[in-house]
Amino acid sequence: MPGSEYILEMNGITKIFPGVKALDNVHFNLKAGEIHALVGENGAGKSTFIKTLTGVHQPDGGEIILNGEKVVMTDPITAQERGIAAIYQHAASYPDLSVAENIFIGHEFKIGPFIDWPKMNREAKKLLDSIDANLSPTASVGSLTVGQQQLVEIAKALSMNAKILIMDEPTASLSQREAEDLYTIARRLRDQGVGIILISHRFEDIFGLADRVTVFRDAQYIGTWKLEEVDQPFLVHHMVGREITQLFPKKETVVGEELLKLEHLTRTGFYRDINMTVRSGEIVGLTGLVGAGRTEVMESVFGVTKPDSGRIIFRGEEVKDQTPTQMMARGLGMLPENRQKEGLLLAWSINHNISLSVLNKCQDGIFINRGKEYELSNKMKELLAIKAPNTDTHTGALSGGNQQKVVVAKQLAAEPQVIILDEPTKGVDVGSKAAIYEIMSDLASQGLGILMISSELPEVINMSDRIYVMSEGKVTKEFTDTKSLTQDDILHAAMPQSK
Amino acid sequence: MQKVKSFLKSWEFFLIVLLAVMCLVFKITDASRIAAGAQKKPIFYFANVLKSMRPYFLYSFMTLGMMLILAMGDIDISVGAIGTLSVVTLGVTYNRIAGQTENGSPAALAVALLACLLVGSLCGALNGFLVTRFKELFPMIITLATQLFFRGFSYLLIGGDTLTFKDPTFKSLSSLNQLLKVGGLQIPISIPIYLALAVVFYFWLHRTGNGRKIFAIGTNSAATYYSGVRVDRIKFWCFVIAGFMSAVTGIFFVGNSSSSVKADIMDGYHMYAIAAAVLGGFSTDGGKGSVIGATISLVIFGVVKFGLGTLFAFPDSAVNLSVGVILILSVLVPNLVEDIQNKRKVAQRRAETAKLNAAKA
Amino acid sequence: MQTKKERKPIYSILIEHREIPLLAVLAGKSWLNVLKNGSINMVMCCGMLCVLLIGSIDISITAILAFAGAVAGKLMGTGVLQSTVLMFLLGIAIGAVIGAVNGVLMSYGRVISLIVTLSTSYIVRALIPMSWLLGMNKINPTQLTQGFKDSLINHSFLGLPFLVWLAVLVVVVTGVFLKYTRTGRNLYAVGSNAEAAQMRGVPINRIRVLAHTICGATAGLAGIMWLAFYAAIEKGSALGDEMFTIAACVLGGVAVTGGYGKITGVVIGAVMIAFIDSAIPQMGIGNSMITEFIKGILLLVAILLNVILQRIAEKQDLARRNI
Repeated sequence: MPGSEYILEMNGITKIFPGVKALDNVHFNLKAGEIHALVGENGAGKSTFIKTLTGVHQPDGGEIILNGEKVVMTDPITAQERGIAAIYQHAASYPDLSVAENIFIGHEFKIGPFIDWPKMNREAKKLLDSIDANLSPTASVGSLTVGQQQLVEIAKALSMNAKILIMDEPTASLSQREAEDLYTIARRLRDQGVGIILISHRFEDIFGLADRVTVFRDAQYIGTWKLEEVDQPFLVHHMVGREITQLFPKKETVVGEELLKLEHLTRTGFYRDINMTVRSGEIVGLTGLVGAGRTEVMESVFGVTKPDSGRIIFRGEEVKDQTPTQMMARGLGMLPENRQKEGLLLAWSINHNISLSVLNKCQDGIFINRGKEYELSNKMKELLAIKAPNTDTHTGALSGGNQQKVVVAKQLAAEPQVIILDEPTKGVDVGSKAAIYEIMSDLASQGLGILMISSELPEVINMSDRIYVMSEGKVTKEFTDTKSLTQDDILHAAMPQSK
Repeated sequence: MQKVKSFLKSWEFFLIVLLAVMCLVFKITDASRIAAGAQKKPIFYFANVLKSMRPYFLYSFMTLGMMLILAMGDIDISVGAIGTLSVVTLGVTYNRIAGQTENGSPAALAVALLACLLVGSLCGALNGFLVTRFKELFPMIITLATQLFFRGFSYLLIGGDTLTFKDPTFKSLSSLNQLLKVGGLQIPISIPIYLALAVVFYFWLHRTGNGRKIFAIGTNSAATYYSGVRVDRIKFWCFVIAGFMSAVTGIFFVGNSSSSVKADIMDGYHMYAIAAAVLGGFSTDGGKGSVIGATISLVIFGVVKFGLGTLFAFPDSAVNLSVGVILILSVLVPNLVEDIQNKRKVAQRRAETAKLNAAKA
Repeated sequence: MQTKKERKPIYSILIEHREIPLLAVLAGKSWLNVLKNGSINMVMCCGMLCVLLIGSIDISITAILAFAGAVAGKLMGTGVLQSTVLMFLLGIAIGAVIGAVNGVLMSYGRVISLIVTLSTSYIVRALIPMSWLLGMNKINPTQLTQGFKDSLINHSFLGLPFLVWLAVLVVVVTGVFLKYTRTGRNLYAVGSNAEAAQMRGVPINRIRVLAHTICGATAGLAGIMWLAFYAAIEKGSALGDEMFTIAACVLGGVAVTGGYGKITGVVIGAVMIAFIDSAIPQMGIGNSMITEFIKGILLLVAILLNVILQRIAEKQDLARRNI
């Protein structure tokens, strides 16, 4: 293999953490002007791998060859100086600082020892214009959307004249439209000779962008292929290590009585005049661009925030002054979008997490009965096939998919009639996705009403019986027939009308 | 076997070892001082230490309240000021009703005690209200501010004066600080009262669903809220109980301070409450700690102060200093131990991998 | 779509509503007093801003103040130190060392800053009454040189005493440091997103130690200012006053969570506190006990009002979003 073909070669990289081997002898290489996708399930070692390349972690074995020269990335600054820039999954920006500062931090323009603010703002504007990002350099990054924040990150990478650009799940929090914009920019950078490493769970990203793809599984290297040589089932097979027969196992169900009904629900500044229904045995999809107000509506229904006006009717009764406690007692469950922050107590065991919402069922008088508690959590673990040695395992140690199952278990333990699922498969790997869809399908066939908020259009179309689309705080469209629906139909309804 | 192992690794076991080591050091010092002729009789023996625990168990009740707050991941800096305000209320109320009469009045004392406990609870309620309604502000900032407010209120009530009561009724409060004679031992009354309360707190925090929820709030309050737990209500009542416990502490204080009341009587005592709870395994991060650990910590502080004060003749301020040092060390040492353990684990793995790679080659 | 509101601190709202001039009227002709009273707090506020920016806090500042003042006063009293300039340098050095210890414990030792500084405040205050330092005594005016006592009050420039100029100097230096140097911006970076800062190669632990060192240094400097201004210092000097420093920062719009805060806001916050301090006697309340009470209430109200006004502003912004 001629050394000149690759701008980056990483051979035999091994990284050890206390307790786990995060990378075991993995390989990767990159050419100038190509987009090379790196895929694998959560915990396969992708993020650790990236961090060894960017100097955040030092590998315990293996070598990094950059432009034919063996290098040691002692720290992030060395990596930056050698032209490696990364855009991380959770936009790793400084929300309190301005756009210009986020772009140039670490290599500011200076006059003597002092920062030259006017020049920084001017240069930032130039960079932003070059990627068609219409942002003010003085705005604080925290006030931008996630999509805009990604653009700032790209501008930052450009400002460092990056030759290698790493994009770690760049589209995870983006709407379809924002993702398209990002693709355009990525392609343009590739054509300018930048080597791009793309990490993503979304097959649209991989098949739409990448030239080659490398698969990791369980901290090990599985293989590298040209994209023409592979298809989706092939990749899934190598990522998961087994066949997945049916990704969307939708069962036919009997749609019954109306369980949840929203009438003219309004919360100023968030959503306006929302009318919706969820019936028993039905999976209702709620989609729209990120920021359309979907989560905000459901948070009000669950009692986290208060609507300003309108009515919530739950199982025929009007609900007033709702709180999560009260709504759960009435039979509503909610799976929050951010499962690590709002769904789970990561430091606690599966057992304790599941029982928290139904402690009164596990008590004798006021005292906790540990026998009952374990009985419940073991039952749930089996029912949802949560993969863990036992229910005393800390939820922080589980994979994303299994964490999500624990959150579902927590809700199911309370025996709800209606469940709201907010982005149930976000950041969940392919194998677990199918499992979660199956659970949803089962629940619906048992007569539960399910409302699923999702930005992933394939799952919205394939899993839902009915679909509501929101845009700018309003329901813009309701699709009752999902059989012949295309992504374009939904996107059309989701686009803001005013712009 | 598993249980023994996990006990040996627990923080409580470490505290017991620490206590034992301290006792040993003091015992040896004691013996060597007798040998050197510096003192005639032994000072550091069980009955004597137990007897002398009295002043150090005064703030034990405050520690119980602080445990609740720390378990929820909050902190209450105003507990000392709440204690002061409660005591000042006690004094002022009693003075108003009974005046400086010769015999005093039991009814007035009852009213004054009720007022004292009520004011403590109300102060706690104010903290609880502000903490749950003004989530933008940290409990630390809020209680720093209310501390100043409570302190100002104490000064408003009694100014810079000292109220001293000489009548026997009021003096009866000092019986709270007497020693119970059981067999050959003299036990400060505060200890059995504390232990009784500690048992209640133990079962509440570690055995009931409500206690579990308190720790859940400290571990992740957002997720706990989404689990249908009434986070704000629990928080509010925990702050009320912390305030109530400060008032209880205050009552013991009055007995201790020759039946006089001043507007700075308990200034800065939050430090002891926080120190004992933190040494006991509670953390401002929330979600952890145990009543048993905190109780052992109270004993440790008592022994340290007694030992340093009597055997080494440390002045009071030096004892304060040692509290500060112990507090820092109690958090620092576990962190450092964890770092070392992690490093060792990685080194082990590294060696294994190197061996494997060598074998492959 | 705005995911996060621009912060609107209380002073900007007060300026809009002209309450600040009102406070000025309340303070009457004693504006010089306001500045004098506020100077020491102002200096400490600059240090406090630095630690708040990194998402930390320091409640040992007034203990450091008393300790630095006591050590320097003792040295001058025993005739070891006679130079006024050296006194100030010594104070800064003592404060910096204690601050650095705080910083090392909170960053490398991963001990929560509240616990660290609570402990150091006890340790440091406990050192003052030890026999090698003050013992049971306090530093009184006779132990200090006339030159030192005159240095801050009796010398003035453009009508303002040196005391005030010293505060201005500290404010300007801190302001330039925070806004125009890379290290200064790193304080914001660490407080805004420490993980990101680490991934970008910012030495976050060193930055944290630096912030605490600066805070300690300003507290040490404040100790010498206190000694020169009051010509006295004792074990309990400035006990509990750290609340006013923190309050000034909170009122000045500094985020206690770190990452956000401007020196201009802090200056206005500190001046507001000084106004409250000076305005109460102007309202004809002489009793210092009542002053304490009113100060406590005003502070609590000001902090809560700050939040309420922000909420109202947010609500108005939401109404404007046309959804």
